Amino acid sequence: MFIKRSFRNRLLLAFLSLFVIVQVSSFLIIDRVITRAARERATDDLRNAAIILKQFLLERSDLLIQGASLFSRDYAFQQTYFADDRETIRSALLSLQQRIHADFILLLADEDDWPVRVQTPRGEDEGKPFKHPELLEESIEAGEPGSWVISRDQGLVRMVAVPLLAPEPVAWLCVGFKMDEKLVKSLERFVGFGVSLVKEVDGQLLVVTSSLGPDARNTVEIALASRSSDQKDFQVVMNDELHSLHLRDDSSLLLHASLERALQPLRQLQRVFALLAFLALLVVFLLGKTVAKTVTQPVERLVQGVRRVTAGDLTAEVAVERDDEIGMLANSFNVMARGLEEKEKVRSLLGKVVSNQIAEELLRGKTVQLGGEIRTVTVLFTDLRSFTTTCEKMQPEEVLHFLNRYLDCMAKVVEKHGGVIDKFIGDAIMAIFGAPVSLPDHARRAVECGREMHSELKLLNEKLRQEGRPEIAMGVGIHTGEVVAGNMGAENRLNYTVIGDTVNVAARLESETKSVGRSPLFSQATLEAACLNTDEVALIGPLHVKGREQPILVSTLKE
Amino acid sequence: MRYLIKIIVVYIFLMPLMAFAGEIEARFLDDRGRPVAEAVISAIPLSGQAVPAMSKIPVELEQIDKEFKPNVTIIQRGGKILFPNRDSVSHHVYSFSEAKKFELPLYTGASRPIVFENPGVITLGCNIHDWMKGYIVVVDTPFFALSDATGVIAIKDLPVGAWRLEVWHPRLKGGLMVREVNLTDGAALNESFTLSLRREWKKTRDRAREKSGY
Repeated sequence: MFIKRSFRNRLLLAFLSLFVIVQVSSFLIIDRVITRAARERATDDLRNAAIILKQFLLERSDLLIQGASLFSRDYAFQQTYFADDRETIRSALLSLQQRIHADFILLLADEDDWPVRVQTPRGEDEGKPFKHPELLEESIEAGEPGSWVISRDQGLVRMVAVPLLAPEPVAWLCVGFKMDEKLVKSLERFVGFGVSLVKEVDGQLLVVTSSLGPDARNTVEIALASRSSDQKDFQVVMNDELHSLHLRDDSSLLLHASLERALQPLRQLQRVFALLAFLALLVVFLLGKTVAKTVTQPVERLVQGVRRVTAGDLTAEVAVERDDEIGMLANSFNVMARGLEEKEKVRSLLGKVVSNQIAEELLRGKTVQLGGEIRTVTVLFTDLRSFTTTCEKMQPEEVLHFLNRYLDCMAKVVEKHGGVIDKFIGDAIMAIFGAPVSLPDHARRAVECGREMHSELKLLNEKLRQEGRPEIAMGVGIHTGEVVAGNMGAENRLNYTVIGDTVNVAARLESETKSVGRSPLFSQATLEAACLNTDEVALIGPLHVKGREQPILVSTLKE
Repeated sequence: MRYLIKIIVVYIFLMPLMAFAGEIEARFLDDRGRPVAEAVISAIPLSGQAVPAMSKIPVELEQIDKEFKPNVTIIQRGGKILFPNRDSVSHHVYSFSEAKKFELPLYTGASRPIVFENPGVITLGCNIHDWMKGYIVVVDTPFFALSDATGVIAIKDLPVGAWRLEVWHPRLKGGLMVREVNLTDGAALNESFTLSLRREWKKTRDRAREKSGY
């Protein structure tokens, strides 16, 4: 709105718009592709980390199983067990716990009736029933050592159970490790991702231990609750960062990675991209401006040239040295301007010699021929009264100046009404209406011209009076009739004129104005052709004019 | 001559019993209807039937190729078992079972006989070889049998009367299966037992590994 809507600016705007569209769309496409790739990669990384952690935990469980299995086949311990020497059993269990670095150890005596009896190194829970007999039964049914995640004291524990084989399972050695904050921290260090341990309570997954802060735990629990039940991978915003989460198959291990961190290289790339885009925009702006200038400068020059021509300065020339279309246009313009200049020169010169209309006709390229045509026209004659007497007291150049002033004034009136000055004969004017340009109302125009000539004369006399000069009187005669119109003279010196009786009658009528004392005088033929109203016409009467046998009915305008 | 008289006397004495005898054919199937081998059935007289005297000959329970052979041995209460070790390596046979606790510390070749005074199941192990496992079922009757792969076994020449049939298997869930039957003269009872078996505890023996060298 504030920028000039020039062609140059539009061109520049088009350049910039195109560039911005290309930049923005490619930026968006790249951003989308890379973001998706980063998310997929984060998810894949989490899945792989989950597999590694699962394997890590399994191997840790296996180590415990191996340690406990060796112990369970120890004949000395078996003897102690069957001897029911509680104190020795407890001591042996403690020894085993230390040997295999277990967080806890239980001995479940396989008696005839379930639930089995618990024995621990320090005697706590001694004799109490084991809380998860169903897991033990599953293990017996499967014929393999058990490995379970159990809720214990608000937390989770990983427990493995191996039978005391004598050689059939007679008791169960349960050893395990706490899945506490220490463990998740070490797991986090191990895989480089956040780790949470999750347990299901009343069908709802709760975070038991996590390497996240307590605030994030709630967020994760809400996200866990709101995801669809079989959804393993999901995203959640924690601490203003988008995190990608992966839940392990048995829903006890949850890994989380900050997507922001995964997207960091992308963000860096985006910043570089933005900077490059800005620089490219600047370059495109400057380049576009130069190109636009190259294109529009000659156009502007052309516009200026056209303006000068319009203003009448036909010498205008546009300097564009180019071989392209714009160069061709500029050349054409120059040729055109030269042509116009030439034509104007001719017209101006011609206009001084012949009437403007004849000059136009000639310039329009109509073939100028000798000979003529019969046309009906109205001829108007004027003459000054006693001009010779008036001029007697003047210097010759003053006379010419005075005459020119009068003729110029009258010629303008003639031209105004569409008449053509045929010639000036001293102080007399011969004007034609209806040739060379056909005018259907030539008679009326001539009458109106006569009327205005008198009005103009009054004004001129007014000025002359003020100047202290003598006033002048004028007679106007008008007649309508057929004439022979055409170019007369030699091949290279032509004069467009009309000849015939009509011209003579008009001249006679003009001379009659002296005797009648009224002007303008016009014939009946003019009156009829002009279709004048009778109330604006005053009939003078039939007049005998020189050279005519029949009198002519003559009228004038009412004053 | 005296020997002949003795035979005649015994024959006359046993005549009534032999004349009034029957047979029990037992069929053992698992939950899926497949025949069960190594099922032990014993028939305990409930109506004071006269039973034959126990054999004094010791039973042999060998250790061959680091396995107990046979896997299941049935013996009448008071019977003796020898545990000859036919392998080149020593074995340490033990039992922590209530019915008979004993151990035969590392030995090869012949062993001392062990007498089994109490009825019950004795699980045998070897302290050297984790996978070695054997069972001795001590029953209080001379009428017992062990099923083969067909899962069918017959106890013949049972005196007529009431009998308690006790069925046991190394993997039987819930201990003994007991059923009482009445056997009439010349009858052949067909008893079918569906045994609910648990999976055998995973064996630790890996024969491929035993053969592979360093």
